[in-house]
Amino acid sequence: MSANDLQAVWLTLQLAAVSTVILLILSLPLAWWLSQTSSRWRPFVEATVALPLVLPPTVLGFYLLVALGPEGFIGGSLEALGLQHLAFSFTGLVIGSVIYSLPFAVQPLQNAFSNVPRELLEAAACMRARFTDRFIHLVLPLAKRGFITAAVLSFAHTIGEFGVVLMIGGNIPGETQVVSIAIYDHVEGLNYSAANQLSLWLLAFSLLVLLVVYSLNRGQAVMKLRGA
Amino acid sequence: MRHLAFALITTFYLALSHADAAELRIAAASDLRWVMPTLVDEFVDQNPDASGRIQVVYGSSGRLFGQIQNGAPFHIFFAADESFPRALVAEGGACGTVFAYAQGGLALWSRRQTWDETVEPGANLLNSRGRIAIANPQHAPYGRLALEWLQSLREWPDLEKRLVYAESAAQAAHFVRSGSAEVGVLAKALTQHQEMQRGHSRELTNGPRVQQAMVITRAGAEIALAKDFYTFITSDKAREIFTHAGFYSIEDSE
Repeated sequence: MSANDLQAVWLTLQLAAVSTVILLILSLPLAWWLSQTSSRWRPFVEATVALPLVLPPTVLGFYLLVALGPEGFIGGSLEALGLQHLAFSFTGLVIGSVIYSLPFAVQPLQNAFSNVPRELLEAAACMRARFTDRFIHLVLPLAKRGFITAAVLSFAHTIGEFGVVLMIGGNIPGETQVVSIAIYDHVEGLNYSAANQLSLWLLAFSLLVLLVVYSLNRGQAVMKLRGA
Repeated sequence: MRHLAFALITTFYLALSHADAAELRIAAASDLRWVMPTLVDEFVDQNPDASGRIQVVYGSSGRLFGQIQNGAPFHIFFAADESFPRALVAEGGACGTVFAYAQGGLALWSRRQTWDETVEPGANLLNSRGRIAIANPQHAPYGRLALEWLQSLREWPDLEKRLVYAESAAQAAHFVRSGSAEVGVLAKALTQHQEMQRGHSRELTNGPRVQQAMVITRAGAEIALAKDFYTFITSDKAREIFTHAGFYSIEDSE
């Protein structure tokens, strides 16, 4: 593998790691609220979170480019403050990935939270356990698989991202050229052996990730009530 | 809690550590994919301290133009068509002089089908089978050039339905090289690519040509290496490399 390819791999892993951590932090309150609320806004929020599943990455990428670039309202405000705009930067890619992978973090967590038996929480509340106690000692352990699934899927989905990154990244080696873009670049440069090598790695990695998720979820039924 | 702190610190560190940018970043039209590495190598031979400090990013001229307009950090813009650098200067994205470095022409290329040189190229295409790949005329100069040429042919009405459009000149070459399109009307310089040697090409000697030009962008105005590279491209040595790589020199037409 060439130095450039290794750089792309390293950059992709960084992007996926950073996005996953941010996604988990953002999704935790959001998924909990969605799993508990009976607000009439719930369907609206759920639909918004799920949008990236159906929206073409080009639409999202286009809006992000417009918003984050020097003319856009986010990029423009940053420029006005004397900072750099975010198009064609690593930070811009992180923002794009977080939005694009949001349903992959929120949905498994929301499912896991909904599966926490309400009686357990009520029993704990009767024993004067405060909300933080209940959350840390009951909800989090019971929703562990949800967390793992959310983390693995967000990580993997970010690695597999192409359209958004192409639109807002600009294919700059070491800055915004992730593996999927590097493959595209190799193919366009008629550099088929390099494209093939990177693609095989990506294929093996994706298979491995899905194997992990599916083997974890196989035992899900066991996770019901096991003396708290 | 300790895990969370660890994750946050790692995240912060990772977010910072990626910044190891090259000093000179060139945005080049994708028909230059084959010649650009040679040019950079020659420049580094002449200026050994520039080694490892130059990065080239390829794309269609239109896409690169749009990215530079939106603040992409490219220092020199090599377009396949002089209209793009001129437009960039006109709206303040570049402040230097636009320099035309070469002229590009077209060639027919196919992996399996041979070209009968005794008949007109239009008849060649009519006799060929399968899809005809060209770059997207909306944002790739070679796509526009190929479309203009095709439309000037008597055979055009029969050819129109067979066209497929690629993102850039290089992707059009990839379409035919991989065999997914049978024939292509490509940038002549790309058909000289090592990977394109096992195929059949026919140069369109009398076909249209495009004046290719470059400019230093606003982002590159303060970068000494950008000026040095710009000067190098205007040199005789660079012109020789372009000619060797299948471009026509500017003087040829005058």
